[in-house]
Amino acid sequence: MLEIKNLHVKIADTDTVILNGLSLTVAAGEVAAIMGPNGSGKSTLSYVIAGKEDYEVTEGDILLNGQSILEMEAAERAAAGLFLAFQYPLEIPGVATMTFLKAAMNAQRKARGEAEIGPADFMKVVRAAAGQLKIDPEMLKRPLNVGFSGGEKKRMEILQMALLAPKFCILDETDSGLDIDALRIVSEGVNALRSKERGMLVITHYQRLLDHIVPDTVHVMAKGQIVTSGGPELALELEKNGYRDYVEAA
Amino acid sequence: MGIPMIMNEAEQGFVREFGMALPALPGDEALRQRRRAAFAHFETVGLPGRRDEDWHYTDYRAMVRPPVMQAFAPMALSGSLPADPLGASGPTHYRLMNGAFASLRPLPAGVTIYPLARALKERPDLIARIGEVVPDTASPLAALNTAFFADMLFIVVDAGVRLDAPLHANFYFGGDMPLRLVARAMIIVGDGAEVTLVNSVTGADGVAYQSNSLVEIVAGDDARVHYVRNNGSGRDSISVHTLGARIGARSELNIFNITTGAGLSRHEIRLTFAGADAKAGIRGVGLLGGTQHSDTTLMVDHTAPGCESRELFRHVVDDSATGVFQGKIMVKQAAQKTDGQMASNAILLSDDATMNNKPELEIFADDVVCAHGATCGALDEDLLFYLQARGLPKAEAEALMVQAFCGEAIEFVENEALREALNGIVEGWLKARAG
Repeated sequence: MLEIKNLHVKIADTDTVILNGLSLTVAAGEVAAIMGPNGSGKSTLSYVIAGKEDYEVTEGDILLNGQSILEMEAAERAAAGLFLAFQYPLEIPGVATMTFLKAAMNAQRKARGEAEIGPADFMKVVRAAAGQLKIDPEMLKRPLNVGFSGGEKKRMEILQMALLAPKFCILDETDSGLDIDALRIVSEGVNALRSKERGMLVITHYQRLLDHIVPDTVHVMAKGQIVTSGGPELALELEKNGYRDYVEAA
Repeated sequence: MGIPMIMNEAEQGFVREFGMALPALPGDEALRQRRRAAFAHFETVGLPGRRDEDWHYTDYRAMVRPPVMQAFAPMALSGSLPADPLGASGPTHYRLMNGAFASLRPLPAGVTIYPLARALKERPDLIARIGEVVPDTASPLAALNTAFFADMLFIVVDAGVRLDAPLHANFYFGGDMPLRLVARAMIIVGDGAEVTLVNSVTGADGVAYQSNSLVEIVAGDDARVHYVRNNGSGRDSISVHTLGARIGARSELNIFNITTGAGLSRHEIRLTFAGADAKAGIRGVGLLGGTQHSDTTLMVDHTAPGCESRELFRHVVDDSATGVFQGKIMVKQAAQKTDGQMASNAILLSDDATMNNKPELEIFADDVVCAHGATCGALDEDLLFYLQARGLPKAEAEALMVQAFCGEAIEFVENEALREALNGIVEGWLKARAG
């Protein structure tokens, strides 16, 4: 479903190389975890897949369902079914969460040539999804993420993921800033979205998140490359021995 | 005594014009005397420009064209009136077209409007109050307004009268000659009265007309006054508007202005707290493009104790346009327990756009809470990416951010229909920008 082939990426302004020949394939229905130390390029990878303009792909390709997405704008990638849950969700003062959710849903529908969602249907799906994530409906009237706690912001990301029903999800350090209860709620939200048709890439520092969202495959990233891959047991080994061996090998 | 001024072409033009206009201007001998005195003041100070502290960023003297002929009588319009951008918020009560007054519908009980001619006959007491809030010496433009105004309205709201629906006025310039319009109003709101005044100003593009309007508001004790103005003057026009307000004890005044029009505009607001424990909010939005230059200058004078003022201005500046915000909060020694907060924020949408911010505090009392802040920058790239990553194309993401930015000032307007109409103006501006 998602194929990354020999990806080389640098920061457009400074020529600093971040990704250095990274290859990775995630099949439909698969949940792949990427683990790695700080500065290994994990967040950059998520931004590059989502289409952030600050980076330049100098070599390689990213394919979604067999089609290269490199020439697509971020919004086009979203409409094509790509979703990035941000490590640090942004605050948007002045835009009610509800307004934002509707704008995003309709922009994607429009790009796909579908009709806009009606107000009654919209309210119904938002209420249902918010209920599952234990999000107070009053919060949806407030400006998006403004004054929300870390846990609330992450729940809001998963709410967006549920409403936009993407084909492929990238979760960038979704566990950061979460307490134990919030981690459980968010993980349940993610697990509810697992399906045979949907691929997921879960980026994390810690094994902890993978106790809740159990991956099919685990990949270790260091110095802009995937240095080893394995099953869930690889995460446990990392938790015990750390990243050092892999960083040194890379 | 200063050095005798050397008049420039525009100033000489005003001198010539005044001599010709005075006999034709309405008023009795006393008013003519007022006009002469006002003009004499103008002759000593000249047009304001860079050498004046209050006009540091707007060199009006250099920018204004030699005065063109003044409009005195309504002219026939070719075609129909364009839609009023604030029209959806309620019916229009009166109109000032090309400087001449027309009443369009009956006024609510407790409200009386005296055009100048009627006031001269029936209410000499009102005539005597001209300049009570903004004296002719306050600024050269106030002096010119007194010298030249062709008609004026006195709007009197009786004490205790509470009006739910806004009193809606439409000002329109629709000629194709580059005329000069000089309009004036005095709004007197009695004790305990409440009124919303809507002034929607529109005009034809492509005509280099000039307008100088001046509004004085006197609000009694416990009054509530809301004043919402839309400056949608023609894109090639020069528009100066002076709004002076003096409000009584425990009263509340909320001013909101949106500017999208005029090639050169100056909006000068002078507020005096005359009684204790009053509240005022002065807010606005400016959406500028092309080579527009728009100046908002506030002078908030806390003379009485326990008053609260809130100022919030948001500018969105595109192309090579220039925005100016100057705001001065003065707290006199008697004005203990003053609470004043002023903010000016600007988004620059192009590399050639300019915003000048000059917030000032002058405090002579020792027990006050006062703050000011100004920010200026491009749209937040990270926020834009976030919106794009959720599927909003770049142009839509930018538009949503601009709408939100302006919306945070608009949300203070109490009347919901007006809020919607103001948000509609922002939306219209964004659509026009997107082409």
